[in-house]
Amino acid sequence: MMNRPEDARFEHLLHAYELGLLSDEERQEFELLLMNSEDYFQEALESEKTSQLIKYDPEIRSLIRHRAEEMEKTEAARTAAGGSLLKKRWPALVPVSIAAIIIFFLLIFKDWRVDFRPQDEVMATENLLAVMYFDNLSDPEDTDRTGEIITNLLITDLSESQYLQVVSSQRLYDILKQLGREGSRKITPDIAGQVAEKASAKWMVLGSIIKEGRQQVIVSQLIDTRSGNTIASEKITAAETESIFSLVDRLTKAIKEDIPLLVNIKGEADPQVADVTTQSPEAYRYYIEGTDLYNKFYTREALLSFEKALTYDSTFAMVHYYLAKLKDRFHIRKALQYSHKASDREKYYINALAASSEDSVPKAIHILQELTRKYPYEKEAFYNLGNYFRYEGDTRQALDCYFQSIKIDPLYKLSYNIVAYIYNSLGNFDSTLWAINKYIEIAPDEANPYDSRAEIYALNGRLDEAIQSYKKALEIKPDFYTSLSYLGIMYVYNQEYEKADSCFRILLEVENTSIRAAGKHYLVYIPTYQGRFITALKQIDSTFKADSLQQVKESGTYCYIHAFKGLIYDAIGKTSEAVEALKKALEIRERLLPRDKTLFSDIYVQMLLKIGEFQKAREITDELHKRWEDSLAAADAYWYSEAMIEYSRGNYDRAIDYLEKARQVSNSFPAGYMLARAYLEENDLEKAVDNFENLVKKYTSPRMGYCIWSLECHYYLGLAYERSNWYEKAAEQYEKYLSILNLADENILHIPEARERLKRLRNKS
Amino acid sequence: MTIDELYTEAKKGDLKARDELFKALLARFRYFAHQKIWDPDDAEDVVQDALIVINREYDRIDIKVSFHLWAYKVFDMRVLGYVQKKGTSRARYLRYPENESDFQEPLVKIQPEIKVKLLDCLNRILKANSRYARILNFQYQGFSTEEICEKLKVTRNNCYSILSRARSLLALCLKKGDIK
Repeated sequence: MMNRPEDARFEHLLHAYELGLLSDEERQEFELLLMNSEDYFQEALESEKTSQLIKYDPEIRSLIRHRAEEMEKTEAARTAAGGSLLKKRWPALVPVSIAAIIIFFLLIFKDWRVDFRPQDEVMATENLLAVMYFDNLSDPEDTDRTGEIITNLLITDLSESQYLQVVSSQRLYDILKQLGREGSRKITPDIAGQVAEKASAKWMVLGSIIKEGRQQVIVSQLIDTRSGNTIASEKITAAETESIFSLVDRLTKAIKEDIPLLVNIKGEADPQVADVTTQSPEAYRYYIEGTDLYNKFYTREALLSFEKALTYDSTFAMVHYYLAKLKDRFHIRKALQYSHKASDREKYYINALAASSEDSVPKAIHILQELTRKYPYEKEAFYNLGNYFRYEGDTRQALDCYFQSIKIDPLYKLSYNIVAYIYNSLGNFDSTLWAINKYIEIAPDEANPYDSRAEIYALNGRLDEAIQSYKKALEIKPDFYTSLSYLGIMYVYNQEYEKADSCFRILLEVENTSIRAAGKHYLVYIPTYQGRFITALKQIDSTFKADSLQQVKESGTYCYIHAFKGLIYDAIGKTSEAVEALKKALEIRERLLPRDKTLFSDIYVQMLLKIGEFQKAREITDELHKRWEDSLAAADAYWYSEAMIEYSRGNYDRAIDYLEKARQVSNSFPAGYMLARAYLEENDLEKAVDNFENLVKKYTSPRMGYCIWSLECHYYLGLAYERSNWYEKAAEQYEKYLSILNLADENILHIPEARERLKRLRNKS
Repeated sequence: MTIDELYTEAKKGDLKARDELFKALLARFRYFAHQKIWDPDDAEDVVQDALIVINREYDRIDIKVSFHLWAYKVFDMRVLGYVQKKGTSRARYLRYPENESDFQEPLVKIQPEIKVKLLDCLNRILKANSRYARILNFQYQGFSTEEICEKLKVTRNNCYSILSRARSLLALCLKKGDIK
């Protein structure tokens, strides 16, 4: 019986694990599952006993060997009669195969499905109520969004009940979109039935707003979705000065009393909806607009809506909550201050965010876990939990949480987005495509699904498809600057510099200072990627000068620009200047990016070692070690720094050991690059080739941030191929290297060596 | 109790919980090490090495979120280090002992009638579809799952499906004496 999502996963991984069929990622995932579960571990131990028996029983082995010889003869005869080459190899290897199959047998009756996607598209429908958009008959255009506001307030108010699960407005919106009714506020009984069915709701509420004279009247019907019968009808007439919030309170009370079989619901406390939201209809209107935009990743627009909401009600706790997520910590204090005006479940979200902003992610996890215990259908809580677990490096738990949210709401697009990335990082491309396509299917008119798909293509070396997908995202939303930035970076990789330039220049025109700063940074990639380092340095200096003259406020992006400058200095042999630039980057980081406590510290250590500052490098590394004790996120910087110390001493084997650890934590580009180089130094050519190939395959933004090293990958990969006697491939890499650098400054990097080696290889051929 | 719960209790000063915690870690690490490292002495060295580190760090650091994750990482890094020095995980299969003397003593005796029945079923299944055998062959030659899929021109999911069908057929065969 499968009780939990882990059960299915465990079932299908167990046998593959014992046969050594799992990839390293899957193996780690499986072992982590066993680490913290006594039940699973005991089950695995039971299985292990059986497979041990097969492996070590001499009689079994003798039988297998005997059988193998027989099969060998048969196979030889078949080959002689024209059998395939593949078959020739089979008999000699039969013994282990038979053993393996026998192991399979002894572990039978297990389910063997690879994916652990949610099997059922639908959750239990017990006490699930869907509130349809209220049709504003007095204003069919619903210009002031009264229908939408009443619908959302009613959902919020009914959701306060502990006896009722209410379909969220976001899900309602998504279902309507799937039915081709996006934006439709007029819900016919037929459409309502389809929505309720898709949402698996037991009941639905249909309603309309009419005017009788000067009075506003809300008419609603509670319908049993299975029979289609109307359970009850309500007509609430607004008093002349009655607010929309009070109307909704009355309607909530009436609906709760109409719901059959839920006796307890009638007696439970019913808070006023205005007390758990806002007193201002305008603030509420902007709030729902903001959350809709937020879920589409249209952050700038969402920010504007939330800020507008605050101008109507500066004490709206959930608006501060979202602003804290989008903008700065100041708002979390405000959210906490006004959290008495939030609903019960919203208080949990606010407290969790407050905890995480104080670097107490475990506390945030604990709060959200409490929330999910109290409100088990709270998909957003599971999604947020997933994000926190992911931050803590616990991919397994994160994935479980995302799937839990999908199980609650199969149309929960945000989780599909992250699941796609996680699957990709686990090397499961089929499942990655499944998740990302699902995201696109749910939200085909939004830019972010295409942006995510593009990034996934880029991570898998499919540059042209990535470019097309970024273009699609920009077609939908031309000012989706994330896609624009990445499209520019893809063009740099594709050596289409003019196109890249035009993408980045658009960013310079944007009002937002951070986006403008990013645009300036990206523009430096263009000359740097071509090896025009002098130009790049001049460009950086003139950027700083211009910003200083125009008194442009310094942003966190400057930290990245200084670090990038340091890498250019390093590439032209000016290591002392590189150290100074990195130092400056760290100084800006402390001031403007206080949450990124270890950003570039490891690269700084690397540069310090190059100028012989071993003592200082050691001190910073020890400091990183202390930070690692507080946070696993600092682990990669620590391992990387330790690795650089060993690398600088020529202890490449130990450097490899540390770099493997660093890479396991974050899989960062620098760790991968230095690891590949260390393998090359150790003359472990197979691993050097593997690692360099892997690096040049992924077209990512972080890689572009280290584009000088990215270029060098082609040279070193050529070298690794050449030493492995793969001359053709080596020549290809040298050619690629030189073609990218054909306009480069004289004799930089390994240009002369690459030319020389290419020439030699050509002569050979 | 889970590892994390034991850790929480142990950190509060419960010596019994601490003892239980390290026993649980030892059992798991031994199990994991055995899957990855063929040589039992080497496997034990790796396990002990990891436990020494965990024991040392245990008093020095306070893991707030996921002790089991941290402990596992300590162990896995040591396995990784071992594999790098001694060759990839594939080596385990390539170095499958060929001589009788290289095998350890079996822990349990298998029932003879099961062996006979198994081999009979195996014959039937391999005759019915050689792909089952081919997948396992490639596997024991040291090919990764991706490489096997590549060679057989099947997706990863299909590869597992084929094996799954093979196993189902074996189950059926043992029950009915035939796969039809």
